[in-house]
Amino acid sequence: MGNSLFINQIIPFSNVDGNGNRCAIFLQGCNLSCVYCHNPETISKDFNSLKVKEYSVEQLIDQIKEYIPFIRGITVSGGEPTLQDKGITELFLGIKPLGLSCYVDTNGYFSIKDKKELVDITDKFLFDVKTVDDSLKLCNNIKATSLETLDELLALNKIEEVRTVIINSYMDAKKTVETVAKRLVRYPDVTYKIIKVHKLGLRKEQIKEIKDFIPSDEDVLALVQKCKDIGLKKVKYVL
Amino acid sequence: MEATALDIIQVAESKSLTYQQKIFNMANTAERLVSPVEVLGYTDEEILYIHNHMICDLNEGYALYRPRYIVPDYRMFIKNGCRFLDLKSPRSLDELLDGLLILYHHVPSITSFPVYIGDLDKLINPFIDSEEEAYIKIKRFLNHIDKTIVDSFCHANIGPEKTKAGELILKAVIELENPTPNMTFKYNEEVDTDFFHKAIEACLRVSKPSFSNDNAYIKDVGEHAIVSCYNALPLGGGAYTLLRLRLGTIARRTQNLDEFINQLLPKVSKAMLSMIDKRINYLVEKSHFFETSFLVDEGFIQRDNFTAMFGMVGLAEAVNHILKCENLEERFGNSSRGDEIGHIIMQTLDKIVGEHKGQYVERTNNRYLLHAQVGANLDDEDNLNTPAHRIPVGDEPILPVHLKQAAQFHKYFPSGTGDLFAFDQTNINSLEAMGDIIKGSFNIGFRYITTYLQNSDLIRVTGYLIKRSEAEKVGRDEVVLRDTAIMGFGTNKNAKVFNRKIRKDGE
Repeated sequence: MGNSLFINQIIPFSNVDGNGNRCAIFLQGCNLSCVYCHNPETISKDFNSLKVKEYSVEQLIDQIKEYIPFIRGITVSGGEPTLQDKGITELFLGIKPLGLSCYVDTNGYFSIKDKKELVDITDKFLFDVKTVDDSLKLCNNIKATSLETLDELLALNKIEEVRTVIINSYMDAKKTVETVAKRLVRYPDVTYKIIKVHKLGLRKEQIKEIKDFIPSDEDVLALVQKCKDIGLKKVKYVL
Repeated sequence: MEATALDIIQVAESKSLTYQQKIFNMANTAERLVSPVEVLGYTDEEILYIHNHMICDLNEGYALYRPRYIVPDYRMFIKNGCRFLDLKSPRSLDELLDGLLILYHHVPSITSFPVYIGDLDKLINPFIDSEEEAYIKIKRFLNHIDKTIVDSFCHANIGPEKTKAGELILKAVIELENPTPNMTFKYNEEVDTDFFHKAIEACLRVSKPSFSNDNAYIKDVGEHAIVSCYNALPLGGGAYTLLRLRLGTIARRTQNLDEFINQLLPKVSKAMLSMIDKRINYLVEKSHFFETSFLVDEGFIQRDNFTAMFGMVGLAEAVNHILKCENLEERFGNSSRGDEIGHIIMQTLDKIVGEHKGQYVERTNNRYLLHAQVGANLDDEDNLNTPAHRIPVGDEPILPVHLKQAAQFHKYFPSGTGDLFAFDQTNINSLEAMGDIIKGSFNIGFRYITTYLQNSDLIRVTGYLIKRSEAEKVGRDEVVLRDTAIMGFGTNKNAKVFNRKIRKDGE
């Protein structure tokens, strides 16, 4: 008890962080540094930065209570929120009795046995599958894949939505999408969202890195079709 | 406000009014050419408050000859047809829609056009055979209304039950993108989710329907319809008349809360109640409307289902003035002392209106009903009185705070109030989230809520719809189809309603 959370931003009403209207809380700090990250200011683990605000769990709960009549739950995102799992677990313990659902938006690069309490109390995860191959080039992270974590969470019925951002060359998009789609066929309630990489929110250096690797709309739609061919019913896309 | 002969000349020589608008303005001028002292028995004090703009009578007129708002029970047409118009009871969708269009021509109001055209989905649904054909007819019917009832205070209701007719109506309004008719979806907690979402999508795309808290209004008004901007009035009845207090204007004449609450406000309010009494007496006893109208004769309306409205605008400005008098740097919408003052003002009005026995208003417990009024542009003072109890454009706090602040005042207005919020395009993709916001608002006491997308051409002014492009024509002195476009242009100048804060991310 008595944990703090280091927060970059709180959005009172979000409609893109899980179903319905939710309060979205963006935590500071990430274990990845993806080339296309559109909130790169949340990557640094330097909590002393001016942009980062420290909240006690109690303070955060009080603020969330202001939004209660209108939200169906909260979603912690970031950055990679599971890095602050103790604080989030305490937060969720305080929020759930208020009738709100608790979601976590994650890149999946964590091991479930290390974050068991958080996984137990979280209602649903929004899971980014960056790539099914070595993620060094894309995310500056050596760990192989997040698929094992995905599988475990799927089996626990804790995944609401999986997302994959599509970018040329940095990843094998076709392989990633097919691998994920084949898994999700067994879980027809889970949505797979395929997102074309975009430049909004990126720093200049990032734009330079990615500008030649933006796929065409047709390529992305072809991947969406592939998912449907594999048998997925709930596929969304953002071009 | 009285008219002069010069007004007649100005109407005749106007370059920016259509023929229909000229007729209407001529008639309205005539109504106001007579002396309210002679015809209605207004006292000097009562006239004074109109002349000093503390009371706004919306140019309603002194030789009254019809009620302000008429709310016919159109089910009578289905049951009995209409003897006066020689129409038989309809046996097909064509006969129903044609008959309704004919009837609408004969429903008077303060605008000369009907302010209520029915719970359309319930009227239409039993007559649907082929869905495809019904859709074409419904769409044509709605477009006919838009092009002949050229005033977007004309209001249709749908819901709460889901019907095929309701779904077709929603589909048509999205495709037509017309300002008229205004529309309300009567909401309760049992609504079908899919139907509710379709209504939300329409609301975001074409600024209608808005949503009313059906159970709250049933409790306060009984069997009712939502008419004109967002008035909740008895079905098969209506409202005789309406006057309104410009609270900002009144408050500015006082030095402190006590003077306002205990002296000037009660004085002006009682004068206004007296004027409402006189207007109703004239209408009922001298104009013979209720003795001569076929609508009464054939049961579409009944005299004893009528009420009257005690309206107000400018709560924000009254509060802001008092806050200044108390040397506080806060403003209404972001001030708990401001909210406190707001409640004191509304409780005072509630008491004054609640203690006054009204004329011929048996239907509402012999009392007039408080109403939170939309904007107007009749006088410079309208610049200084924000509609209803709303937070002035520019002062809006973030959305959850705004919703909660607004909700606390809805309870004072049994005959209607409403708040509107502009959203951006992305919300079209998440109707569930919008639904959460609407449901949440009703749960904390909202009576009526509407939203629209800030960048659509169709925009909700303060309670009615206009096309932004049409209002811009008014700005260039060009002739426009709808008189509400002319109003909308003026109200934008006063209340900057074209520039409401866009509510992204709950901001």
